[in-house]
Amino acid sequence: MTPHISTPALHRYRLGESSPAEREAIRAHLDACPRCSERLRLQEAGRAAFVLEPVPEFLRAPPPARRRHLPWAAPFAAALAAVLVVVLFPLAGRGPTDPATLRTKGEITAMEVVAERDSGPVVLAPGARVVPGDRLQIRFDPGPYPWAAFVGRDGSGSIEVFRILPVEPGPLRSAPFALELDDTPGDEQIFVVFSDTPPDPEWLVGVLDDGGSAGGAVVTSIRLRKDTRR
Amino acid sequence: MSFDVADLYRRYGDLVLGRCRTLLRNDAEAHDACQEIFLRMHRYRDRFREEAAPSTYLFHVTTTTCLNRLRTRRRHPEDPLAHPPDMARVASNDTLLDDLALKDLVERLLAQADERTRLCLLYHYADGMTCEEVGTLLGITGAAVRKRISVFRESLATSPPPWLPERLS
Repeated sequence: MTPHISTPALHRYRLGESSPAEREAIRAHLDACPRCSERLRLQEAGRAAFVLEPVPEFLRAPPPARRRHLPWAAPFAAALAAVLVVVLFPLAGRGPTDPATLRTKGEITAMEVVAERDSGPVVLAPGARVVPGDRLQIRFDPGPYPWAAFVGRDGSGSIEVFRILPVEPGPLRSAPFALELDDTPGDEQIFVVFSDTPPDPEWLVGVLDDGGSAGGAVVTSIRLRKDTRR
Repeated sequence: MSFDVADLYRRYGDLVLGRCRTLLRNDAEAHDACQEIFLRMHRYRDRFREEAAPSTYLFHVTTTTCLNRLRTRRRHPEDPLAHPPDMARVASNDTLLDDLALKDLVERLLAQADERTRLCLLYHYADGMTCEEVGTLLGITGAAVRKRISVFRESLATSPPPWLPERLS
């Protein structure tokens, strides 16, 4: 056995393809080995730079057929999106939910969150540490769904609907806004809800409360660990 | 079984591009090789089988493609396009060797080893894979990998390069 982690094993670890036993062994090694930690950091930096690049035209699959939606939906949703730039929905009395459905690229829909760091943009893994003031960019691939809603839930349980947008099929792209984290303590969850019809904000809350399965919507999410210690 | 190559690109493109940069030491050629790999997968997507760990499969395909390109460079010394200038430092080098040692290893492999032996040595010395892991990837036994490495080591016995460990691990 060589004393360091092999390059493909580091990739498997980073991409979540390791077995539980391999993952545990790699994690223990990384804790004690600055060299392999630096190799992993190089891979992650490469990933962060790459993710901002568009998919080459020749690789784009034919766009899937658009799903049927009601003819009145588009003007209604455009008006809704214009008005509902930010809407707050306190969740007092509602039980906590965690759809825990981070969908990675390669599935029908996808999302990831990129943070600006001193070393450049970094794609955040589920459970990554964030701090108040961090600026986050959401990237998403809607698959065949024509609507995307961007929603956040902070440590107090409040849900904030950031944007509701009509979207076209296509490659992973950035949401047209960035988020700046406030100092509310507790985990921060970010959801992107993909749907066939323009989502109503209350319906969105119901979808999140229902564990991400209500109304045929597809919920992608990531939970980030917010560290508010000074 | 077919699969969506665009999805593979989104998920593994950084792995392929980073590996190309590390081995080819030239940014433009690395992009070209990366495109070649995914274009080939796109064109022949119905023939590829799904791998248990796609990252390892793509890692191997990329390594093979890059070594073939480097071999072509050596075979056509008269062609200036085949000899793009090196990057002074390879920011994506995630191997266990530093840039100069990796370059030295690759040059020695291209000069005096067959294709399979090149892969055995590169995976073992640069990427830290055990002989058994290399064997699994190449479809040969760990003992066969060890034998190829030993023969190569013997050829370096008179003036071993500084990156070569004293014993075969």
